[in-house]
Amino acid sequence: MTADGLERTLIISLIGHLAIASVIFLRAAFVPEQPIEIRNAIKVDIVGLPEKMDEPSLPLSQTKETLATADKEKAPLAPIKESKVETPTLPDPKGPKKDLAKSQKRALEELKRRAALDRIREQLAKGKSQEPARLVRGNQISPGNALSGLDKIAYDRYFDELREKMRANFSLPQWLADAGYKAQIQVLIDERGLIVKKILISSSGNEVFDAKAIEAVDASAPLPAPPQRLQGLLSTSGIIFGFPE
Amino acid sequence: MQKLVTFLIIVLLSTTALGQNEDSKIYIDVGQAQVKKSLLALTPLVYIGSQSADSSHIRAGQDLYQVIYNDLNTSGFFTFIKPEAYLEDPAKVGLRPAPQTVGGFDFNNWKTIGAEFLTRAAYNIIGSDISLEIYIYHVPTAKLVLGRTYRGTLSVTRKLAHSLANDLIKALTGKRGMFVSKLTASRQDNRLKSAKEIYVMDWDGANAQKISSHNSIALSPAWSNKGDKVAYTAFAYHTANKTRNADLFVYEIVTGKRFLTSYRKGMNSGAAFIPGDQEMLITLSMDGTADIFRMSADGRNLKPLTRGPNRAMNVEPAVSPDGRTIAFSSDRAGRPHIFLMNSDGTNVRRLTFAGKYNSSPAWSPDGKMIAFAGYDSNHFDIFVMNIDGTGLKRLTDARKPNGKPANNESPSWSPDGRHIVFSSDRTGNLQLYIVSPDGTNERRITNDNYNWDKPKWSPFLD
Repeated sequence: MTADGLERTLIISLIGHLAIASVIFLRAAFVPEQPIEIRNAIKVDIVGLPEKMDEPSLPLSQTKETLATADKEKAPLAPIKESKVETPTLPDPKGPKKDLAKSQKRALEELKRRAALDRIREQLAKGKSQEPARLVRGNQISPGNALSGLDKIAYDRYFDELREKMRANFSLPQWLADAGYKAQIQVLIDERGLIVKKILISSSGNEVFDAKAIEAVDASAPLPAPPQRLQGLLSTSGIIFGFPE
Repeated sequence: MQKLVTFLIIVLLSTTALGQNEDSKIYIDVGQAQVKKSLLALTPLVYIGSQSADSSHIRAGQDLYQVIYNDLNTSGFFTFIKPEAYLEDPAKVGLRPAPQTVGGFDFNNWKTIGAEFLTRAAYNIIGSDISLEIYIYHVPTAKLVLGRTYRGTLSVTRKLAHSLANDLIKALTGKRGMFVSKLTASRQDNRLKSAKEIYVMDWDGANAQKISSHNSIALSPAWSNKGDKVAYTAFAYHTANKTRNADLFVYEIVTGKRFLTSYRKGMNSGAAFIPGDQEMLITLSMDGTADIFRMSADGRNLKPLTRGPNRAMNVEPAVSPDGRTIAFSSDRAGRPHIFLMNSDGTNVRRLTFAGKYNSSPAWSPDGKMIAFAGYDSNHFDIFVMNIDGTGLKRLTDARKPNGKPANNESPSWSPDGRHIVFSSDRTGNLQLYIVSPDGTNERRITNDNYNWDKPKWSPFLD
């Protein structure tokens, strides 16, 4: 390709990129991205791909299972063997009282032994089912941002607490309320609920209204400490509060 | 060439950076704020005429002050600071703040007593003309909210004050005030007690003027959408057949001319102008039962919108602000209830189910609510609801001097949607009152021994 040809290609590429950049600029300027309300977002659990596993090193659970099975197979042998030894015999006429006491004692010990073996067997069976699988990437579900079940309830409760606290401190004179102004404030919260930063990201256009909204944020500090999984998000992206909407 | 490549790389990098999606953010709607009234120091008006003030000058100043006070009090925005709490004498300081103005007032004196707004005003009268110079300040920010001079003849003193109140509401909320609007209503005649005539008055009941003169019963007035006409029904005497009939008249406010618009046999009443004022709705009973018709503003081109069913009554049409829906009352379901239909009479649907007798539907100016008079146990009260029938709310609850529940009827919205006028017999006579759509801020408008009925609030007239 000649230098002229390369230059022409680059110019076309430049124009193309500039066009894309201007579309993105215009879109960002005139169609502001709507913040996603996390509570209503579609949530997807992401499962990581599996790791390659070395052949010799079997999973811990498998090893234990094998051992447990071996124990299980051995265990019944002992009592059977012993039971043969302990088979009741006819009482010795010479010392019936002494023999009776001995045989009762042996029978009792036998019962205790059997009960102990049963307990071991049960424990082994239980241990097999409770043994945690070895954690490797691929069989572990990423926590992601899924909000469901107890997590969702906890987060909803937290967001409700924030809303109620903020609303309790959001007070306007009637004339300002009637004017229908709206403002948005982004608030960054640390793990203790302290307000790290507040940014007026959307002004109402009325300085008194904006000041009242900021007053509401200040008066609400400290906020309730966020749930653990939200801490990272709230300290970096924060929460956008709409005064109102 | 190298420069071009460098520039291209920069563009590519910036494009990539812009293309990155923003992290999804958590959003919480705080909801509506708790509201409170603002403390207002409405200081007395200072007379600044070169002549010494005589009693008429002082009275004009007092009138101005009273009208401003009443308007601002009715707005529901303010609580007035009593003069005893003032830290400086408004009569001894200027209208503008110190130190920019020598001898001006001190903002700190008003901040200290918690004033959110301060008015400083002066008036002058020269001959039959009056002028009012007024400054309204937002004290916490020390900023001027409104500064203006009003001029007019003494006969329009009240209107000057209403205009000032409107300007302040507009400056604060960005929305128009209703203080220059008017009411029309039917009132018992002075001499002939059985007769009723139509009156037009300021929103506060002042300057009531009779616009009909039939010496009979005139009732159910209705404003045109421009506010230049009032249609009403009067039992007019027909000399040809020597009978009286409930005919529809239209009165032109500016010219004072009156037109007989519909005189079909039976009732010609309940007129409602359709937006644009080229057509109106009317209730006619020429076929035996009362039904709603649409006709041109001159009474021609009649088109039926309702017909029964089963000889049911269909009355009191009210057009939505967009002209697309008509609310009316009908007993087609047994008892009178509020119904809606499209402006061509199709798609009739019932709106109210509660109560024994619901009547007089009235649309809010934003078209989102309907007020009506509802009878549940033994009296009428004013109610509002959303146009889907939800959010039903009772606004009135008053008793007569004898302890029995009073009747509250015939609601009509102010053009700004902040008030509803209605008639009530709580004093023994039918008098006019206003109430906010949330049931607060109830005030008496007329204060006499007449019976006032069927009030209608005008559109904006300024």
